[in-house]
Amino acid sequence: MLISFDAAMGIHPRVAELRTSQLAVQAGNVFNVETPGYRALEAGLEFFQPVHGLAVSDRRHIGGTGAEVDLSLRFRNAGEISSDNGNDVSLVLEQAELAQSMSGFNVSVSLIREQLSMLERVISGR
Amino acid sequence: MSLQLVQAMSGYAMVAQATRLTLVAEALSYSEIPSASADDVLQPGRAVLQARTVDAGSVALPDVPAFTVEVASISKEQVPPQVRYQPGHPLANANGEVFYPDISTVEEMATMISAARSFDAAVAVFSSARQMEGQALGLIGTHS
Repeated sequence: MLISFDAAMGIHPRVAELRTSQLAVQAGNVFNVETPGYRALEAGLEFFQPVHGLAVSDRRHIGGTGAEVDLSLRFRNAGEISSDNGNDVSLVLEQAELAQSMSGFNVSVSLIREQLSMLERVISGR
Repeated sequence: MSLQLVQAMSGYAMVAQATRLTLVAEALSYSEIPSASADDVLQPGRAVLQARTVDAGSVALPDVPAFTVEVASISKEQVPPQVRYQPGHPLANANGEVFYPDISTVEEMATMISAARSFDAAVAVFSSARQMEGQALGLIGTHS
């Protein structure tokens, strides 16, 4: 096929989808701000270059098409908890992180929109 | 798409906070109800919150645990009542004592504000998720 839509969209649909999972985890932290014994979870997106074991040895070689992404989950505070009911959620921090992943999602959606309009221009031949 | 899941999670959180608010209203309305003996004093309930797990995974990445909140149980702890000396009261016992629930209005108010704030947070998360879903849906349509 001349145009592969999967390849044309690149990494962005996957990033957007992982952002929604990240948002769910962070929203859970906000909801459990008063739950006794709840420990905050940290969900982060990690971007990395895939390693294929190939090298660009000629300038006509086409390089890797870009990064890959994965979601990592861990407890936010590894050490002891200062609160007396065992809850270690910081509402301000969680709200800031929530806003951050929201804007990350918006960026991905905007990039997908740009890719789509670019594809449309290519298809219509203008 | 886990944006719908985020909205469902907000729903759970809103229900839990509304339950807490109902219990505050119950406690405040009990506070001036007298009774004839220490055993008959009304005891207000306390909401015990617990995390409830949901799966926030997607096609891109399955098995992501996320937690929403729910009311696990409503505990009725037996708090010793306030004893007031009111000999003329119709419910007074032989010693002229009447029993009232020991409810701290200030504590209930603090619980009420905290429940209302958490409800606000849940509503904010809900509308954010809704807005993000709208943006994703906006991709369907004309691109020029």
